[in-house]
Amino acid sequence: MNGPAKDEPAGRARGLRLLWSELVLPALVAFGCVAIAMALVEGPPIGDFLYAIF
Amino acid sequence: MRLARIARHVLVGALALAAAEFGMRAAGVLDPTEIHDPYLGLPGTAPLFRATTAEDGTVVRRTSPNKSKNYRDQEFPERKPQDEFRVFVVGGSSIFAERLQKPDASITNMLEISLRACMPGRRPRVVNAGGGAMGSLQNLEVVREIVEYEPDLVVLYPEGGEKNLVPPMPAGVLARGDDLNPLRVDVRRVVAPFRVYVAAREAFYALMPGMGSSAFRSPFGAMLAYAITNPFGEETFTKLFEFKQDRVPVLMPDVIPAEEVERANRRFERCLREVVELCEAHSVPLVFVEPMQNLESSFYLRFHIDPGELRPGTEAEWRATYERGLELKKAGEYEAALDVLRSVRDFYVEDADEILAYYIAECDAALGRYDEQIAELLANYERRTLIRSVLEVAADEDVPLVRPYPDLVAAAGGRLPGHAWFRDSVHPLATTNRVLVRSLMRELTELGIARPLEPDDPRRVQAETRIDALVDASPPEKSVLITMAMSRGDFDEAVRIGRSIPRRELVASPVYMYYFGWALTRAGRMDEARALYDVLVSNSKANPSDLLDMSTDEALIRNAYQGDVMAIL
Repeated sequence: MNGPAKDEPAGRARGLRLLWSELVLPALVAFGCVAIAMALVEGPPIGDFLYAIF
Repeated sequence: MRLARIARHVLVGALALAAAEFGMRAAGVLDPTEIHDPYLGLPGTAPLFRATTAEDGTVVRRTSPNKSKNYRDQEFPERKPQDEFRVFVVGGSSIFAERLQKPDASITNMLEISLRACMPGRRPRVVNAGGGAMGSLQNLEVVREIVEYEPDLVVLYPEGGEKNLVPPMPAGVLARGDDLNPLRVDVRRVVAPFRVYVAAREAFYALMPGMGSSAFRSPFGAMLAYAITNPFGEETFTKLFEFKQDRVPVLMPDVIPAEEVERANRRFERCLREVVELCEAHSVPLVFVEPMQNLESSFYLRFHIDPGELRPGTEAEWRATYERGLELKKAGEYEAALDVLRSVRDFYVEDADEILAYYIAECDAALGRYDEQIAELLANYERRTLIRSVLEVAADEDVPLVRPYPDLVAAAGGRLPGHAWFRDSVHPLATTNRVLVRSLMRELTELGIARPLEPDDPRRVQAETRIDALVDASPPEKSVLITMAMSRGDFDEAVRIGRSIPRRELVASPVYMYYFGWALTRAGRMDEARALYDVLVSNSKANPSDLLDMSTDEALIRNAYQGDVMAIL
């Protein structure tokens, strides 16, 4: 009876991890690629761009 | 397994971008044709004419909202009707003719009226694709776009916007970057239309204040701002207009590095040749028009001499001779002045002194030798690299070229078409547009594009009557009339014209106030000039921290005139 309740947090963590690694992270990387491509194409030094971001 | 995972992640990333793109399009946000144009019309810019649906449900092309400040609001059907003869006139502010819209006394409207008379059975449509401050790169992008819109003729009027394509002007910085790295042009063309890209770019500019700024101040605006942020004095209203009046040009090193000038000149010629190639590839007839300027105005003439232009060790003698020539000119001894001023040319390794030619032409005019005056000024103008490029490319590529000056001189009764024909140093008045269109129509007739009409043909008479009415309804502005009176030395008449400007109109226009202040100062009415200055100061939004240094002649050339850029290219 206690089994499912005990596994619930672990299942949720695994689900969140999956969501992060399979969905959010690839999407963030894709947007990051667009931003870096923009910095290269627009011309300002990449250092300025990174400085602005961080 | 690992590859499959990477592929899955790439697919998810691409889907996320696609979802964002579609979401933004559906929401109508970050439309590249609506937000400001960070590329200033250069490659990657949104189309000048975007597809949209007209009230009757047909698809039309209409000037993109973010271009409507620099270009006219134009509209034409996406699919050209069978009987339409579609012409695009590409150029800068003289084609745009911002001040000649009500009524429309632009070159394009007059050309359309003239073509209608000569093309029975066809419906000529002349689209105004002239943009304020636009240079060769922007013109090329416009031509690249419009060749897709089924043009029957393209007319190119390549004018002074090239000055904006030289650093440190924002478009100049961008153009130089593109020249040094052409790959980014190709990439920008591909990615700039996507809204996710626009989002990244807007975020970047938000994070980097000052980047992408297109702040620009014309020499007139810069000097006006400088004048009114300094105490009132004799020079407040006169310095701008009399800076290049009977004075020896400033001896100073060229402000713009030689490689920038060469790059700009090469680019201009390259763009002209690309326009020719594009039109040839689409089998579209192309006509060049030699751009015109007010040759009576010294405002944009080069007013500095690089020490390297003088033969070594002659500086003192050069200056003394120059000053002697100008003293004779001011004393009214024009023959003697001519001899001395012409001898100044011997001091140059290669004479390219524009203001000297201008002074010599003034002496010619004072002696009644108008042909020599015109020849001197026209040679001075056509010596410029950009003008030479237009003439050379037209000859090399066999492009018909319209040179309107002879017609303009004839229209001016054999005299110099000066202040009475231009609203400033560059922009033609309606009466000048009429002459240019006649020159253009003659060329189009010779090319077999327009049917020749006898002078008394009713269709021709009707067209000319309509154009005459447009000219009559577009009189020169009061600033032009003041300039004409001042150039005659009739200061009281200039004051009278200034006083005829309604007070509300005068106070709303710093340009009018500045011209009127000039007239008042030279007429010796200093109290009134000071009162005008006080109004200017109280209306001013000039921020002293934004002001450029103009305390010396050298600083003025460097900052206000951007190193005489208009004359150097």
